[in-house]
Amino acid sequence: MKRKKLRRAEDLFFTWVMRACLMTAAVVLGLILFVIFWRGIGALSWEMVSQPPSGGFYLSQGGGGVFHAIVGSLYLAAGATLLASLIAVPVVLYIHVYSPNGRLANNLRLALDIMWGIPSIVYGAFGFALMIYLGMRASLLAGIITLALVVLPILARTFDEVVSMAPRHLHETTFSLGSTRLEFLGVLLRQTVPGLLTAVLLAFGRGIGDAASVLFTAGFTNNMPEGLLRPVASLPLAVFFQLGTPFPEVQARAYASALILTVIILTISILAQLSISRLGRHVIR
Amino acid sequence: MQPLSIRKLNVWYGKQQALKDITVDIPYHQITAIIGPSGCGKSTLLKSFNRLLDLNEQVRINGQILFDGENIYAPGVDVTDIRTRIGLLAQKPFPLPMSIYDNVAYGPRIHGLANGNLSQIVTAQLQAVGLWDEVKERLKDPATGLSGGQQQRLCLARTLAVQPEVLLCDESTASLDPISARGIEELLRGFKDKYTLVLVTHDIDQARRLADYVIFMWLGELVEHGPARRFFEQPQQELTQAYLAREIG
Amino acid sequence: MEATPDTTIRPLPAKKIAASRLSRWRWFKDAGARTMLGATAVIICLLIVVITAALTARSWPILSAYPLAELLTGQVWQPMRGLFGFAPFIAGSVAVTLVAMAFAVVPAVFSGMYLAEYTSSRTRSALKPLIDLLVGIPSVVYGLWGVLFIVPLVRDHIGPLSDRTLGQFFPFFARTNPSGYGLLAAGFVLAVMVFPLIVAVTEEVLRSIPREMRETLLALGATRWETTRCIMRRAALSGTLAAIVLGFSRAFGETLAVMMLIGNTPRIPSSLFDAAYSLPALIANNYGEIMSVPLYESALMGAALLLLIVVLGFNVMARLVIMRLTKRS
Repeated sequence: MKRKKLRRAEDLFFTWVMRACLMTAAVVLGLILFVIFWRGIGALSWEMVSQPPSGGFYLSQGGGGVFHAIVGSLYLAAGATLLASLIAVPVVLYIHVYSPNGRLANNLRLALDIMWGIPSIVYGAFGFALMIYLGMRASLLAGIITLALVVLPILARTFDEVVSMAPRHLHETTFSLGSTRLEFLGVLLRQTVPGLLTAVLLAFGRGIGDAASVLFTAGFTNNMPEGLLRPVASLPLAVFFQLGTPFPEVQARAYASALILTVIILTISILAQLSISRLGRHVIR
Repeated sequence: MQPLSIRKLNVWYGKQQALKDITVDIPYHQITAIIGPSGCGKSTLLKSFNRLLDLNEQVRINGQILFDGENIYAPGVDVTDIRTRIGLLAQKPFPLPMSIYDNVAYGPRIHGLANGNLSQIVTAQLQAVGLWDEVKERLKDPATGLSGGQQQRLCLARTLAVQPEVLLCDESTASLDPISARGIEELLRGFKDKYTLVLVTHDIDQARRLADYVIFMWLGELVEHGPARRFFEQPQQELTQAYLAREIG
Repeated sequence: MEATPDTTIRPLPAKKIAASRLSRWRWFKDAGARTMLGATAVIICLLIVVITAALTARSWPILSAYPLAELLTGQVWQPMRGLFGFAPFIAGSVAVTLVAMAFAVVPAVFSGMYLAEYTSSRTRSALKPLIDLLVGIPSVVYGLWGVLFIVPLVRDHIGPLSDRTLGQFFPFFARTNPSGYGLLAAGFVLAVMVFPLIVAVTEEVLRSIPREMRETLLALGATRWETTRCIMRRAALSGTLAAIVLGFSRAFGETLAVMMLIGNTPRIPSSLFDAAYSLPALIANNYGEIMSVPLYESALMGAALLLLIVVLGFNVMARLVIMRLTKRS
């Protein structure tokens, strides 16, 4: 009897330990958001989000905002996501159409999983090495290419999971109508578009937040983006550089920029969540 | 005396009703066979006895199952206690990923039944299922190295080692070769005087060979139940007659 | 390429169809797409090799100028004088990662266990966004949070407290640095960053354990915790270790947040409060001066190569373990 009570108490104890662990994580998340909002909201103004910097921005007497970095980040992330999807989507569909469990498919998944684990600073260094070979300067294009490498595994693996949830009878139906595999690939794409949206949003969010890969490759500037071959500003680096100045006014702008970045990320994250739950309703189980 | 009484038991998987208003008593120290075509709810009924159904979150249950006069679905009931007293032998043998010895010893260990003579318990249970002579030289080997029939006997020994009062068998011979299956059947027949046995089977002949009491299910409903002799020789319902004549199912 | 048999429903072999009814053009498109996409898949697989090769090529000058042992164990980093000792950075990276793991591993594994074994799908779908949000927050925001919240906390409260108590007996807990920037602050923030990864992988691994094992244990009258513990110990241990290894390598390569919090002082740390310098921070901080000093760029590429090799080693190991575990189901 005593032993039974002891076992029950142990069971209860560990259940609460686990709950406490998750609750701590929730509290920390809350704290992060709270601190970022509370410190950022003070310096936030319409000027911050709508104008590029004007003279002496990093010396505390300048005006303007980080509009150039917002636009720059959007360009970088959009370009990288687009480039990565152009490569990832056909390839993922291909392995599902031709041989979902074949050796190539498994090797590809392993390679993508490993690429997911490579730190973005290493991609940054690789991008930099590539730029030297090609004789390129830091530019939007170089940033997009490097960032595409960072988001490619995220996009491909997420999309891969989505496609593997596609109903089996789709194969049978389409092939029994005499389609070639390429034509089936088109059908499969139409079926998985909502899931693709989730994967794209996740990749886009990661792309906006990543700084280490664009540090050498996209450079930084105080101007609005001017072209594919010109350097471009990005929001994470704007936060970083503003924080690095010794002036409290500029540092306050860093807090505001971080708030803008966080709001963008939260929006994308919520959109991704919504697209996942919408997807859930359409998946045939 | 009935160790298990089912009273107006209804079970739903999501919106689909799997068991409809089942009321039946399981006789003490006899072999009860639950028969019926696949999908008729016989496994669901069996797993409701030791509350393994609860694991599936889609499941909704109402009604009562009285075990020793106590409703096992009442709030505050200790589920682990119920599962200790009502053992289950699963459809496929599933040796835990540990040694042969540890498989049998796991239950007594967690329940504190050993009191220092754990190896005696293990030996006794392995002897009871006729496995001792085959494995005594390699008790420390992984259990997955045994043949299918041996594994199922090991699982039986593992279940018996926690000293249950009721033993549930969920088509426990279906995945075995005919000779191993007969071996298990013989064992179960011999356990009658120690345990109340309930087995699910889709094999009418097996029910004929083993059962003292039969429950016939059809599409989630209990069609007929009664002592085996009467059930097989004078089935009351047309559905039962048709099923026994293998016209349906 | 398709050596393993699979059960995909296949159309008639392309050639046979081509010979019968299918128009040449459709067949041609199909075959062309197949070749091109197959080639792309192979190229993606080879990308890791390409990256390693490029970084090796760029770091070759420094690798051939100095013996490897000297680079790895050298304690002095003064590129102007031609001294390229990586030891302080390697030590800093290892130290900050270990601090992060000390904070993250136990709560993350417990959380993963809870999500896999204890929750209904409804609770889980309520908890999942929490984990996803933690993953999504950019590293610079984590860094800023560390600067605004953790650093003052360490500086004003944890540091003095630790110095008064544990620090009296163990030099490891002595407050050697009053600024608050250092291993503890960076390690803690890093722990929050790798937490969701370890949770997710642990959960995935536990989910791949056959349901029968859970049922068997519960049917023997084991409690939930006893069931979880047995599954953990007997079936999911290697996968959980793989999850921890993945977390370690993620923390090891994290750049911005660590760089903002670790204090960027190139020396081998001896206390939890010491400022240190990590390998990624070394690369990121010095990119501007690359061109002016001989061998500097090559040295930084060497640092990136070192980082890549460590992370690749850990990742390949962990992924192979996870692949083997999850394939079985």
